[in-house]
Amino acid sequence: MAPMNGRGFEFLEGFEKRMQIVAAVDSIVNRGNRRMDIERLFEPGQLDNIIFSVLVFIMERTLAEDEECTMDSIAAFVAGILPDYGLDFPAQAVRTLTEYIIKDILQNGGEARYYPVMRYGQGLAPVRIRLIDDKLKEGERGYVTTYQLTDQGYDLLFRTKEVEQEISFTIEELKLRELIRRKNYKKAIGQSANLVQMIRQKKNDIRQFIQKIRENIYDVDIQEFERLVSSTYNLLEEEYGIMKEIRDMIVLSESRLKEEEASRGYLDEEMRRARSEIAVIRRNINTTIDEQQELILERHSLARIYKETIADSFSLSLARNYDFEREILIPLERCRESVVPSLWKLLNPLFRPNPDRKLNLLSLFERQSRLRQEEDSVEGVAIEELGEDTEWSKIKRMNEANTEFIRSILEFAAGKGAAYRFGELFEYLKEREDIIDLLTADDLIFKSMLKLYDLNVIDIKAWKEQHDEVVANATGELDVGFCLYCIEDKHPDLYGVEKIEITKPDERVFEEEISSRRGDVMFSRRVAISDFVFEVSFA
Amino acid sequence: MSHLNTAIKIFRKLLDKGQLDRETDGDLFLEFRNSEVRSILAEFEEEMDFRIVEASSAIYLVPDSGNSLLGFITRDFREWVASDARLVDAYLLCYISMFILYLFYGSRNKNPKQREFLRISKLIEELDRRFALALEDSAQATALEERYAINFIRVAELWDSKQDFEEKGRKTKVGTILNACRLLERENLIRIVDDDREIRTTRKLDDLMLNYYLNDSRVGEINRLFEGGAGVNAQD
Repeated sequence: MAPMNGRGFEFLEGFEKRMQIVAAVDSIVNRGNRRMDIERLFEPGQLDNIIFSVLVFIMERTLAEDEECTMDSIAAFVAGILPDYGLDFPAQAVRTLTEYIIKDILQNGGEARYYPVMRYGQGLAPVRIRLIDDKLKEGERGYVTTYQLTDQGYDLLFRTKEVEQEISFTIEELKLRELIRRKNYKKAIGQSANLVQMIRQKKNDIRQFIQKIRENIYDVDIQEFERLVSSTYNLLEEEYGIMKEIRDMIVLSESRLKEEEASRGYLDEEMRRARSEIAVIRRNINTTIDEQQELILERHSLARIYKETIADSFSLSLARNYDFEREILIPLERCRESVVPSLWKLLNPLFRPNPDRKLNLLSLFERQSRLRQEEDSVEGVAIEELGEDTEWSKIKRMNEANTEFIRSILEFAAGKGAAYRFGELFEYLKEREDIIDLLTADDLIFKSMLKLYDLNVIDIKAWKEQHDEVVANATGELDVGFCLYCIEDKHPDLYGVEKIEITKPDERVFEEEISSRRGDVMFSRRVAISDFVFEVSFA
Repeated sequence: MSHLNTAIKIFRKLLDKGQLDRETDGDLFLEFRNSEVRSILAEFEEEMDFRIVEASSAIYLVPDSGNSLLGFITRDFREWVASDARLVDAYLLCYISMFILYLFYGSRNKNPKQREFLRISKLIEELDRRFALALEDSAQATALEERYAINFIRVAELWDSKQDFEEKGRKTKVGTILNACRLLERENLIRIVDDDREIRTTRKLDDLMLNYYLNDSRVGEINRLFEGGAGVNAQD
């Protein structure tokens, strides 16, 4: 504050605190997001009163235990106070008004609202204004939003009425000191009892405030948190000092009473009553001091815990962030066509890992086990085949298997007449002993299934219209056109199917134990694949 | 249990759920802080192209952006729009998703999160405004400087062609936005509340954005992606 001291403007120290209240009031009085169709229904100032009343209602609800403050309860409250303004709206209009007050005004449409506040010596800086906060709770009928005051909200409301209580707390103490001095003990008993109540109330408030910090740890700036904790702590210490002073005075009063008793040899009735009243005051004051001490200790440890939690949460987020608009949004608007297919990479880091995509590699590796090994004897002499021939016969086998697979899809569709799952088809194929080994060898059926899913659709109608020449499939990979051509030879109507769409509507998985023979070794493994759906349209 | 076993257990959990929470898996969460376990997991990260992001009450498995083994591929995006979706639809879906992230986390303050919730109507307004700028720009044929790519103009036109409000059909603006939102909701990144009128971020999204996604150190990777040189190509 050196610059101010130099100019003699010390009275501006802490000026920002005054402005924060102005900022909070401004957020209501000069509210943004005004909807004139609603505002027009009120006389000047009426809505300001209603909004403040809603704030008080939210405070009341959040201070009370077991009471939830929802949009419904606020709307009921608004409906209850509207007659006081000479207004009468239908229920739906009250609901709209309530939503307008909560969402558009008090929550500023969900956006952060800032107000420039001068901190002399440091300059003008925006201060975020947020009077209420909300929490999502999962209820029986989906999510329920409940509302409560933020610390700023409490601050504003306390200063608009409870501030009197804050001041009266100190005045109360002063008054008590004076009363003891004047020996008006009767009244002092009530006041000391009030002090106990007030400190307990204060303890509650502080606990609630801390709870709020715990729940909204990301919304609290660590410096702000420290400032709040230490200022409350200072306040408590100061009060603790005053209370101690009062107790000292009671001790003094008691010793004076004793002196009087000793010098006179007795105490008159009034003085005896005074002594017993002082004892009550003393007990109350002691309780107050104990409560305060407890509170101070509690705050010490809580402050440490919260500081650690906050430091933990913030340590990483304090790392520098890039400008989202400059680095992502604008490049997205300017990106070349060749980049478009790669844009998924932007979201990839936020998505859950999705390893099932790849035929569930994990389960393939995980449960594969050797069942048994037959004798090692060499059976005759292996027929040597040229690599090319071996390759060709393998391709031929795969083509046949794929054709059989597609034919079965069509045949099963025709028989079923409706959409079906891959699992159902597989069960059907399992009964066809002549082809199931062919289909499961090298996981062909599963790979082809994924390929089909990749294609999304077998559009037979379009194929019929377009195909005029067929190139023999020389790769052995699933070529639906080639398969249809082969099937058409024996089944010219292609089972009456026009189109088959392959979808994955949910996360259902089909699992199957597959046994196979490699040479003289038997293997068993478990395969898991999404249980795709075949949706069928007929001609 | 050996450190390797613990590391594998953590990895399995992460692979299964994408995250490990302090609340539900307190023991494993603590074990993660064991340096031996951590270093085994670091090798997994290195070999399988992912990273583990730590937040105060959860850890997350984040596939590297080019990791198509553990993550998504473009066709998934298209499929999310519709089985017959075009690339432009996927582009729009991606843009809306990123725009939602921008509206939530675009602040330049120390805490980049700038809003608690976002109304769908507000999102439509903001998107209208943003796309209108692109359309205006393309209308001014004299503009020498190319501020928008031609593809993006197509995306803007696609958006502009959609009907306004009310109906939730796929061809309307609301329907298109909800479609993008449901994708994000499925990944546990946002919640759609208030009868589909409002969206809110989840703790997972807050954690990932604040502890990793927005980190300055990712700028190089993002730049490379837009330059088209980010390694693995999309499996289209």
